[in-house]
Amino acid sequence: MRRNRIILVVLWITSVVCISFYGGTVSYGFFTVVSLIPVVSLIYLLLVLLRFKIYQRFECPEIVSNHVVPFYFTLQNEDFFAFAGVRVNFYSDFSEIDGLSDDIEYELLPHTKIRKETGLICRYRGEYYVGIKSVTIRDFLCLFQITYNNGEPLRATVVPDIIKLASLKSADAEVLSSRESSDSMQYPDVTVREYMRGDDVRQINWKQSARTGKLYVRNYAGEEKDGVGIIIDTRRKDNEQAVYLPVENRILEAAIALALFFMNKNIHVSAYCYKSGVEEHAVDSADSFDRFYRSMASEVFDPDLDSALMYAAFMGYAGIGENKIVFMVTPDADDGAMELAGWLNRGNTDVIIYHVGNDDAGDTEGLEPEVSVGPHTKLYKVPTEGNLEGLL
Amino acid sequence: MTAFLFDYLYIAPLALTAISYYNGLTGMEAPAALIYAVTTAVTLVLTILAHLRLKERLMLIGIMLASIAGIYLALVRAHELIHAEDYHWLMPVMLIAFFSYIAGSLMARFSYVRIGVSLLAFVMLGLTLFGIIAYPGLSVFFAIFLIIVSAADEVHIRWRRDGFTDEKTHMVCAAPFIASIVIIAAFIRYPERPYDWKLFIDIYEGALAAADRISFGFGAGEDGIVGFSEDGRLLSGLENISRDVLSVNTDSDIEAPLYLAGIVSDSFDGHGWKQIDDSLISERNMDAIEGTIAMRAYSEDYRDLYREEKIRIDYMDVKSKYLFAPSKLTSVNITSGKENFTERGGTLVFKRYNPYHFSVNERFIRLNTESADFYDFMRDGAALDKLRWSSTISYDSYLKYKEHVKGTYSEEIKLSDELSARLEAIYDGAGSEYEKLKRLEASFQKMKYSLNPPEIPDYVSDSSGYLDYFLLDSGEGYCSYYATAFALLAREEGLPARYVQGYRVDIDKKGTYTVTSDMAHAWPEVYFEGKGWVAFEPTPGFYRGTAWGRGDEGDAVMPSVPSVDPVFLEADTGEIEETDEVYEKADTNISIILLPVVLMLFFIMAFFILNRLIQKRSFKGLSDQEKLKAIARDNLAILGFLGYRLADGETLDEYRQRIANGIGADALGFITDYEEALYSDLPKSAIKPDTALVCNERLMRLLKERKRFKYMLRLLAGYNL
Repeated sequence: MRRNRIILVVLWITSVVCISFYGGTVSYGFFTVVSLIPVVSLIYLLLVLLRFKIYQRFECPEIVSNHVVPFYFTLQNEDFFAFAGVRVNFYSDFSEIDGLSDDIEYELLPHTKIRKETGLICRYRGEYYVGIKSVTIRDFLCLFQITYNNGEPLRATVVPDIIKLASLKSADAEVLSSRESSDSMQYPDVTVREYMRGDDVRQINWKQSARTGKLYVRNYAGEEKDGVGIIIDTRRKDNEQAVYLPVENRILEAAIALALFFMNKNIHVSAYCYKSGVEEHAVDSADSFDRFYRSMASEVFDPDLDSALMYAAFMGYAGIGENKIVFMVTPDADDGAMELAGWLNRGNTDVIIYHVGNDDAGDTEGLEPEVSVGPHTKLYKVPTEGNLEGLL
Repeated sequence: MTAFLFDYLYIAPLALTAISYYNGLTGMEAPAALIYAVTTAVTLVLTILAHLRLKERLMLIGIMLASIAGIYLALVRAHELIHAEDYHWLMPVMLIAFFSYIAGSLMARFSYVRIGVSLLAFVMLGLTLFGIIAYPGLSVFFAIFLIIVSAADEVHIRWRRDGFTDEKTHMVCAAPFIASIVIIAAFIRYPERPYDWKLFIDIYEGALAAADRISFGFGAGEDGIVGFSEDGRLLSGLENISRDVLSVNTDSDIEAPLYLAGIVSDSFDGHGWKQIDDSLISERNMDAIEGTIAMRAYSEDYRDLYREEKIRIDYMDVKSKYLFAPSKLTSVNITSGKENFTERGGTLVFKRYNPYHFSVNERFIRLNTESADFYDFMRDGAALDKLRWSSTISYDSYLKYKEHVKGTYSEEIKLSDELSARLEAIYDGAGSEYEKLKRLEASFQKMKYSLNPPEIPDYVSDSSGYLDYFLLDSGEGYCSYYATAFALLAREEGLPARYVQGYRVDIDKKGTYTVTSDMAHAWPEVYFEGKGWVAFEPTPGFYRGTAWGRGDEGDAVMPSVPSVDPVFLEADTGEIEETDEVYEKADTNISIILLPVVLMLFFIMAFFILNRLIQKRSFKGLSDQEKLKAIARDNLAILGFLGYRLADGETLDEYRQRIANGIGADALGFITDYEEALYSDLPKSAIKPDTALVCNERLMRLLKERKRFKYMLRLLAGYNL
């Protein structure tokens, strides 16, 4: 296009020189024609702009992220003149069209239409525009182009993907399903466990401790923890959609994947999130998992959520401490999260924090603890992209 | 149809361009429209023939031959003798059309031919531009159309796209847009002269002048006069910007314009005035002295010839280095501050810029130019000798002043013969130099005043050139133009003359008048030896003489100047002569039309009848399978006429299912047999055309019911073998 424009400019300058030195039909006619070419080209573009028709739709009542959804679009020319160059530009921030790139330019002869059947892949859960974003039209001499935005874009509501984890790298699921510590001594009513900072020193079992060389405290019946907790931090840390959508998508995917994983292992799962109070979702069957999933699909992240209130609410919620292990999926592993983890640890609950985000994502292949807060709290960095299977 | 149009896109303009060039070179003795018509007809027929099938070609050739035969017979019948020598141009036209058809067809098919011919057309246009070859103007646009079409085609070929990219359809669809460009361009009338870029130059100079005026007002530059072209150039366009410059207070009750001189210029270079002389001689004061002495010496009633007036001029928010004052100045008194001005070459200039808001009182001599006495004085007044010289200034100083005036404001100008003749007509019978100039002044008053005259051409380089251009060619301008012409013509008469710029203030009665920048004016002043400088007003619409009563004899009456016809150039509309060739209409002899038409119809009928006979005979010789295929194709064609065309990529079975509701299954039974005939391995003898024949009859009945006209065509066309 640039080359054609340069040629036109050179011709125009030549024509200007011609009329400056020569009169008559040739010079003035040449000048007039060269001057009219861009005018007519622009008129042509405006005509195409007014007459061009585009239809698009996707056939799926519910779009699941990262799943291909049938998508159709039709470019139509109902007029008597050709549409020389039409290029379709798609929304690409959060979705992509399978098998079609933005580079393809189409020509539509009079009374013809082009119908494309392809697939739409939405990468993140949320509500956003998909499909055709804009259309670029070029004239038949390839001099000018006009890009106009699609006046009726498609809006998609995308639900999070359900990822089936084969294994959990950050925690031993078998251990979690066991009711006793392997290090414990079996007493009729008392078991022991390793000493943790904060434990009452009067509970130290000196005999066991002397025998093993490590400090052990008595673990009375009734103290045994059961089940898995998942704390879902629904704070929105950034107002930019391009930033928060991937993070929130990952948080929900992780929470759903964890819930499904443990449900399949017959381990009771309790998922907690905070709105005006702590909401608990019990997941121990397919039905309850489905309810939990629906709830997560429609979960709204709050940019104004008070962190202090949230953590206080979680710490004040008795049920959380009764889990054997708690997974915290959060966009911000701040001091409050550490404090919550410490509180849970003091109640003999292990904590695994999944910090979802892309700041210094590091190695996404192997899962290495970012920070080891203590023997009973681990912090992992989970990037927003990549297969979740290897990340949890 | 698309293929035909695509080929014709190249063939037609190429043929018309070629024939135009040939006509331009050889000058054929036939009307241009007829030549174009024959060329178009020949190329059209050839292109149509190329896109027809054999049968249709034969029919078209037959129709043409029949029509030609009919025309010939009609002419013979009307006893019209055909003189072959009158139509000798036909053969070269048809040959050129034929070869253009070949070349155009090649252009349509091969890219390199297209590029080569387009370049050749471009070169031909260039040769035409330089005047090496000539041809009728319209064909430029045929050539340009051809070039643009080729360019668009090349763009299309190199443009990678998906979808429907058929070259021929694309070009046929783009052609109307290309044609609209060329058609619009073809309808415009173009001048023969190169473009002078007057509009842009005017804009540029206007912007410069506006910038100068802004800098004037804020004292940004050396120029100090608001409303003037400081460098004395005669501009092609003026903009009237009104801004308060001065205020004048007068106690005179004379209704006459007051001329406040600013810059006095002495040298003209063809395009503008300059002040070369910067001598310190006090011209203004000497002028007043000379005039008063002469008028007093001439008549005791000298008060009827001149009077002394006083004015006060207040300078407003303007910085100027010029002191504005009437020419015949007797005294100047600046009310604030000391006098810090001097006179250089007749121009009063401040040594530095004037202070803001200062006033100056001036006394000057006003001449009673409209009175008969003044007229007589100018005619009869004698030169001042030493005896009559009565002033404190020495007579020798006066002589030096006179020499200075003659040396500074005189010029030898040679007029063209035409201009001399016109001036002679004006001056004829004049009794004095003054009367000559008054006649000249009256003649100028009848010319055209314009603030946007044409710019003075570059070839004007001196006074003679300017006079010829302005008075014989242009004929319009504003005050500077007229003042210049008048001063130069006065010089040509041997009288010293100068060009003065200042302000012209219309005075009605005593009082204060605001002088604005749009009152800036230019006028000529002519020196009459022994009488002094006299100002004239040649600018049309601005003449308003000075006169006051004669005392006991009532109002002064100016001897009438003979009414002068406007002998100088009036505006020439410059209408372009129509050069269209007149095409002589041929007499319409009814038999010339009727006979060919009858023959054509006869031929068509005979053709179709013959065609049917041949078809029937051919059909009988076909095998059953071939008959079935022929009838099936015919049935499909009939279904097409009924609006049920087989779609692209559609199988026959899908087609049958699709149209069954609209046609009825009983008329579509042939489709199954047709499919078997096309695709199955059944022996030929196993397939019979009977079902197809029955379906054919049913379909023809349907066609007759629904589309009678197409039914008639099918009857004529017969089977599609």
